[in-house]
Amino acid sequence: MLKINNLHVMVDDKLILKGIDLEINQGEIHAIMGPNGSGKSTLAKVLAGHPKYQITEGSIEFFDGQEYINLAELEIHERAKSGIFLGFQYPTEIPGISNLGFLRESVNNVWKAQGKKLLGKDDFIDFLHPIMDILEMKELFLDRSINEGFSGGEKKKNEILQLMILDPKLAILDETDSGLDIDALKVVAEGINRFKRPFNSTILITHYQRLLDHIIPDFIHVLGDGKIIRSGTKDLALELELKGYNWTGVGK
Amino acid sequence: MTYASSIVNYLTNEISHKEPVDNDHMHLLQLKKKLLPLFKMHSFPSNSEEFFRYSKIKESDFDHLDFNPVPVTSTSSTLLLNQFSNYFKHKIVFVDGELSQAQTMLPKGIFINKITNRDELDEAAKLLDQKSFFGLMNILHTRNIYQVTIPPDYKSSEIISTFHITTDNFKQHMSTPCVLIKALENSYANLFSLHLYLGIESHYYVTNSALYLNLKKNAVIDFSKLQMESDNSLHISTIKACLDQNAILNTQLISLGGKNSRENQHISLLDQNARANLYGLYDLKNEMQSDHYVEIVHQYEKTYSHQLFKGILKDQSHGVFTGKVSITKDAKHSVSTQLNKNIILGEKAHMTSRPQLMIDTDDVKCTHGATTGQMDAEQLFYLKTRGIDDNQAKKMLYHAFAREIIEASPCGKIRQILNDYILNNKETLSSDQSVTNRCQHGIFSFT
Ligand SMILES: Nc1ncnc2c1ncn2[C@@H]1O[C@H](COP(=O)(O)OP(=O)(O)O)[C@@H](O)[C@H]1O
Ligand SMILES: [Mg+2]
Repeated sequence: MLKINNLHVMVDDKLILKGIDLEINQGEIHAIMGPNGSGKSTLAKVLAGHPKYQITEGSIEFFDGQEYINLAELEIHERAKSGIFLGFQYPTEIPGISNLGFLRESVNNVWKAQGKKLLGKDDFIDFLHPIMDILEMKELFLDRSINEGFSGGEKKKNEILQLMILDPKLAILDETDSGLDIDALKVVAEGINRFKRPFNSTILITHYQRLLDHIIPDFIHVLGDGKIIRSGTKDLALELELKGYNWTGVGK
Repeated sequence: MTYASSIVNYLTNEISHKEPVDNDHMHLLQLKKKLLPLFKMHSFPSNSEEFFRYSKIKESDFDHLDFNPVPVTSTSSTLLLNQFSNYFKHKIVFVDGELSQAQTMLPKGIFINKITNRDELDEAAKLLDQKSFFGLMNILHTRNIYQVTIPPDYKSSEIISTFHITTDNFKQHMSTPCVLIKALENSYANLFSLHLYLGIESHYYVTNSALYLNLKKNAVIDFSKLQMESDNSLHISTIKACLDQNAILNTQLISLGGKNSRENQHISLLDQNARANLYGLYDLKNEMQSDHYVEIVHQYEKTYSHQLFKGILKDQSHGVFTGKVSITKDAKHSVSTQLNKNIILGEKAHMTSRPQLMIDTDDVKCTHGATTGQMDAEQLFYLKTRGIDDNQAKKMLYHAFAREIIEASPCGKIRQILNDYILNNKETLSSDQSVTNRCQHGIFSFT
């Protein structure tokens, strides 16, 4: 699904990622953990194609269903259309655009590229309802501006709603668990678990172990100062929880 | 010979040596004869004058005007006009600056008439702009001054629209419509004004239009204007309004066309609780210039004004906003707010924003602000990560930006029209049904 080779990434003339190697296969969930500032969000943004993040060395290859392609050659919206989704750590507020209009515009664009049949407005709302029920989101969400005035938890639910309706091949979820209370965390985890099927893959970026109580990753990687410093299975998370990041030799 | 002298010559011939064509025109001609010497004392406004500092309108723009144009074979398309016509039942139609009675239709109790008798003309003259070059030119050049009276207690949200249509029946001509609207006590009127060019090729012509609004006690006017002139034309427009006690004037000016456009608004708040809310939006491309000039005078205590102007500047375009507010010594406890926000899309586009406050009394609240920036990169990124391409994402953000201005109109029908034209900038209107559908949800939605 995804092959990252010796990835170096620079932001504003500062080297943040310093040689990441990572391979993710279909059906796998990889958790990426690490202290604040270790480069987790940088990795997420570079995968989505943020223009500020420059690849200076290495490569990202993505299997688009037929062949491996060089991700750097795809524009941001083309990445979304070929099945990459980024759930933001801090979802952007956009006053003046209704959430429903946005969701529909997004789905129409992605589905159209994927050859799926588009839904009329009413059918689209009918399609959203059961998913919003799972996420315990009220109808009201649709009429509000995108993320404007949403609480932290509401913003994250809105991200998972988008994940579920766009149903990408590769989901990159950046600290989807932060800022959630226990109930919201359960609801969000339920959404992610429903999304997860044998044919898609997930990168679960998290600072804490607690999300991993609900979602069992196949692999865990610890990021420190722009490099993967340890990889292992779910037991690694427990070890981290007990001993803290210091134990890995980086950060606090 | 420069324009100023050529129009002086032209108008001098027209006015001083002519006899009235009929009785109807006798008093207007007399007024013109009185104003002609005043006009002759003026010279064409220059950039050294404060109010005209950044305008690109030059004397030489008028050199090629034809004052006695002969009709030519027209290539105008009426498609666009039909779309608007279907939308507005009640309209006053001016074609190439002249009132077209045949196409004009007004609601019951509302009439438009030429001001012909002496008393009415004397009264009107008090309102007319006899001070500025363009104001005088409008009066001297216009064939008729028209008056619409909104009767006392008239309260209908039925839109009364004015279409100013320019065809390409004439080349290089000048239109100078002059309309006075008198809103009598306790009346409410919902006005929409459209400046539309129907030619296929973008011709050069000049519009110098004047609208005088006289709001009596408790009168309320909502006024929206959509300016879609030819990309080559010059559009000069002046709104001059006087507001009595408790009168409210809401204006919404949308500038989408014209190579150079100048929108003047002169508002006098004459009595307690008079209130003016001014909204504007300019969407500029290529080398267009839009110059909004607002002058508000608070002449009485507890008067209120609010200005919100927004601009999108593409290519090498230039936006100018001047918001001049005077609070006289008699205008204690008045409130004035002003905000000008701009998004610059073109590398060579630029904005000149000038707040000018003159406050001669204590105890007033005045705020002003101006922002000029690019589209928010993080918002663009967010939309794109959801499969929306650059062009569409920008359109959505643009619409979000314009929305505050569109929504200033309380009238759903007007919001829909503005919405469609601002968003599609000159693409054709959809049928009523689909516009309504699109306006309920989606990027077109209004909540
Ligand atoms: N836009 C940016 N400009 C400058 N520095 C940045 C930018 N984004 C991130 N950084 C820096 O890169 C490092 C990694 O940040 P980030 O990827 O957000 O870490 P994490 O998500 O692991 O907390 C930090 O030192 C941060 O200050
Ligand atoms: Mg982060």
